[in-house]
Amino acid sequence: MSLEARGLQFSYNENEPILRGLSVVIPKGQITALIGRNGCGKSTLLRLLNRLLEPGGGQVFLEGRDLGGYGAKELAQTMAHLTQSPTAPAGLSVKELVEFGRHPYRGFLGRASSKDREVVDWALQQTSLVELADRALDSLSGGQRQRAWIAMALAQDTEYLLLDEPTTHLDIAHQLEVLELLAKLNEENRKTIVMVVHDPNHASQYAQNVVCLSGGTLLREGRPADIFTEENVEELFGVTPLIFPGTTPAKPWCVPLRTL
Amino acid sequence: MAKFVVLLVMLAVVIVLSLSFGATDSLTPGAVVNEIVAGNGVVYLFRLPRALAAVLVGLCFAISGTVLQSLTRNPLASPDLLGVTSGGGLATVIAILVAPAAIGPYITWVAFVGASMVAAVIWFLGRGASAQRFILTGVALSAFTHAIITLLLVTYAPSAAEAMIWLKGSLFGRGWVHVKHLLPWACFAVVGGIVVAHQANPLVLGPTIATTLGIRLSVLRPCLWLLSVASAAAAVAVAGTIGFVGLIVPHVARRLCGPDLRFTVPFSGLLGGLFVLLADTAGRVIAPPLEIPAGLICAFLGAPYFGYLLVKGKTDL
Repeated sequence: MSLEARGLQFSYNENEPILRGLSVVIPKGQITALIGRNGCGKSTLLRLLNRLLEPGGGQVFLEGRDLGGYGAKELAQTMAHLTQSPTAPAGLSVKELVEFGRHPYRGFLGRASSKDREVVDWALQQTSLVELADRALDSLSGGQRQRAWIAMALAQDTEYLLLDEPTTHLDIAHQLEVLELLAKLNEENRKTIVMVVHDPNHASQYAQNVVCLSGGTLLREGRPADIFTEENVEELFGVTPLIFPGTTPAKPWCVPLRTL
Repeated sequence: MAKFVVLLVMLAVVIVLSLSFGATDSLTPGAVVNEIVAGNGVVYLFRLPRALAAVLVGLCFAISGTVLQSLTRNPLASPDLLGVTSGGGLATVIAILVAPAAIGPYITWVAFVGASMVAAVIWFLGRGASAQRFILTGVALSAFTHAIITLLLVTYAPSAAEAMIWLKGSLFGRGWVHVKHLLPWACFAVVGGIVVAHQANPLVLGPTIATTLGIRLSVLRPCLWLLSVASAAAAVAVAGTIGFVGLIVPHVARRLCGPDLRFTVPFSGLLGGLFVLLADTAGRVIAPPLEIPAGLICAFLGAPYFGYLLVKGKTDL
């Protein structure tokens, strides 16, 4: 049981297909990193996996069921998706944002249950935002803001969490903070996480499974140690890297030296 | 909740005021009540229905604007963009020019149908596209329709006077028949608005995130649009173009009430009713026997407030 794409095709306009029959299985309970060059279809794949886009061909299966058969609320209770650079209206507080995560569980007129409040508190705790709960989102630092969005996704209480470049625009400390949070959620709550990342080291250090896309198809997938070799990185990014094992050989470091 | 009570009390006070003052003579509250109970006289026959019509018109415009601003995620969206004001205007002008004698009793229906038709054309042209494109389509087609109205008025100047009066946005001479026309649409706006409010709330985070939260945009968007068009068209049909209500009142309601539409929708409705009734009453009292149309007063009050919002810059504008 997992999240699986079979023969996915997609194009925004007819002449330039973004995905050309992509098949990939996202293993459950792991962190999967999607990597590849700009325009290779990473974000498009993520959107197709969450039905934000309709595939031109092929299918997505979630827990063995065709994604098209899921109800809107049911899907939102199974999978959360943090998009790239999300925006909230001015003045919205952290807690108000996180409460939106409970939307798929609310009834007809939207009254919050005690379970809703519990989960919101839990999400705020997990993301260390309890003290900032009443602050306006736009008064926070970039890292705190990103944690608030992750808290909203957590409040959805889903098995799956998809993130599109969760570390973009953050300084290095905040980047690590977000990634450490994701690692904790994966470890303690067994969340299946799929994230698009640009930094190869974020993939190698935090993901158990790395999916490399190139030209709209799957180039290869596997454990970080198998993916981050000199030849593979050259082929994938067109960059000569320096690969060294660091402290954990299963998680090699990758320093991009120069373009080919 | 306290805010709703305050607003209702203010509304009641202004209704009593508006019933007391008028073109003939000013009455004490006691005399006003007596006349209403008797079901006859100037208050019951003229002032009460006019006051109620003003409240309902304001309510419809304000809820229409609140819903539309949520739908388009644009704080500058107003019911004019839906094409309802220009559509209602065009249909009325044509009807008055074609059959001036026969049109009298049916003018609200003519305006309502015209408003809905132009709104439907704009929706059809801008459908499925971004909110941005929908707004641009609305601006373009409204301008085009206004041009046709002006062309007709210029070409047929003498017989167009009646249309001009209707277009300027006034509650002059509105009676029980207009209240009856408005009441079902006002109820629809309030009840429908509260029902869709919870579903519409996540739209502030944008259509993509709303979708990830389980919102079906393909269902929600037409519902919001329909609600917005129907309530604005009903208001336009009765009172013509009363600008700024559908633009300003939703802002004030959000500032006082917060972003949750379950409260902002009914609150903006009451506030809109208060605003238009106040404008209409002021228009009758300022320089009798001359009446200043409510639409003009609303614009006089609304435009500076809008400027104030922009200068202060503390809103989501």
